[in-house]
Amino acid sequence: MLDNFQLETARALNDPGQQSPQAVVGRKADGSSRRFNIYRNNRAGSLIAALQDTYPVLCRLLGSDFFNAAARQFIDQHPPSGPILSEYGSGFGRFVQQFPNTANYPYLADVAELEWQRLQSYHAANELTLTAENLQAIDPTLLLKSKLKPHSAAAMIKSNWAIGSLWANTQTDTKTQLNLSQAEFVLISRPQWNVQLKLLSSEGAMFMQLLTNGLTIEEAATQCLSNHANFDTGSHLHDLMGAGAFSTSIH
Amino acid sequence: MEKTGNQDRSRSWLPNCGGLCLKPQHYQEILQNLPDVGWFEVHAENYLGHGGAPLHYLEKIRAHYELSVHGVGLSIGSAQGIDEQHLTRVANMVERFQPASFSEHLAWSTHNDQFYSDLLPVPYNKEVEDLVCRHICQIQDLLKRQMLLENPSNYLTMENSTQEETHMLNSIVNRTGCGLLLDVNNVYISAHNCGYDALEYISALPLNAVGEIHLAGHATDTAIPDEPLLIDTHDRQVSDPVWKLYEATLKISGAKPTLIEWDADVPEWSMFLNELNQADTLLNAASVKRNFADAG
Repeated sequence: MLDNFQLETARALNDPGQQSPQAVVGRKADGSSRRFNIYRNNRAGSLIAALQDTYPVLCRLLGSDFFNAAARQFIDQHPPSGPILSEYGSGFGRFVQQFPNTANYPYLADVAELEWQRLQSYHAANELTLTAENLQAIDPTLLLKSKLKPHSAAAMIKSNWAIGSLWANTQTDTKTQLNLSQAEFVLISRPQWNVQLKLLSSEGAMFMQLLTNGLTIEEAATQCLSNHANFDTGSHLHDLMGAGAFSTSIH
Repeated sequence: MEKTGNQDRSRSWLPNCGGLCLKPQHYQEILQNLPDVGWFEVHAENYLGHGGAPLHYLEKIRAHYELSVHGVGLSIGSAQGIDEQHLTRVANMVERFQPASFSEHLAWSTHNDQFYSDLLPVPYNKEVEDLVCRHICQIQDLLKRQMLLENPSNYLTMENSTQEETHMLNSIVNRTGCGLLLDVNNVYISAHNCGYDALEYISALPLNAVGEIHLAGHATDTAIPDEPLLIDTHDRQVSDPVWKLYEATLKISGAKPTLIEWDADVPEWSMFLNELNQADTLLNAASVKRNFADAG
């Protein structure tokens, strides 16, 4: 009996057109839909707030009216399956990008992906980051044959748009001029507790990607050199390490 | 009491004074100044990540303060049972932080693997009483401790209820050995919305089982001016009538560990302290009266 009641309530929560469950009565019988709507509003409000927390920059770019309307549709079509709201909302950027009126802003999905990855990084497992001192302890010829493991909180996003610069612009009062159609490679990392963004050059991004794919430092460097004649392995390795891109487990 | 396997269960034991909900915007303030706050409460579901800042700061703050872990997603009133995977995550978090208290709600929020992100009402009848007792025993067995069960804020009543809420809470406490988290703001809201007397409701509870009191702010929906409804929002100061109900409650219950809840539109730290001071003042008065009464 309880299961049927909860099924009926769940259906009524999912569909605002559906009547309040039969078993639900207010103090006055005619007031029951108004009373039941409080639960509908609480649910929508809390899930919209969760999406706003995860995607604050997307919300600023869209404006809160559009964002909230899109969030309502997303919640209808992709409701959460679990009670941890910081795990809810993957794919919201791609969802928003499908609306005809966002077609002129083709970078929105990537901005949202950047925000989603920032959240993953924020909650990722704690791990020490690889430092120059760690590398100095290793025989240089052995080091070249070694593979590096990306840090648990590190991720790289390649976008056809200047999403890293756009994101950074929203965090400060001093705005820099943006060329949005400039492709960017953004490294997201969390050396300790604060999530950081770093823009990588295309060769730096290629190096990071090859190392992430499991190539040795030497193999990755050789491939980068064949694409970029001036590729400086040491300085790229140093840059990536400085940003906390790798864990200390070298093998 | 129903036998639940583990009889050596530690009881909820929060310091008998005011506590505050822990919010990320206050981490630095708390760690720098170690303010005079009796204890902190967190929502379990906000600290179930793999690592990072939330768990780091909670660990540092836990080193200085007692902690209450308050679950908001176990869905104790779910006909389909408790999500064991989620319960295990909560249990691991409780194991790690060793809080003085763990609490959850008399409500449901999950059905057919969908999470409804609100504390939804259950009817009060034998079927639900049995189900809730089973789930509380399941939780207490896994956590190896007593839990506190919180009374809901009600916006409506249900045709399939055959008992009073207070009757059901009494039965659950007797059958499972759990304690109560008495949310005085919820009582005020429910009594207004459903038309009963708040203090009568509180008097009908097993007050010696109350291990914690919650206070929070609420909003008023005046869409129908003749029939305003109160809504539990946790986004503002505790209202005057709720402070009065709290004071009246303490007169019959004696001092109880009391939390100021504030979850949306979180204000600056000083506002939190003001609310806490009000609660501590009333708690001190209640303790003094109790002591006089004991001496007499």
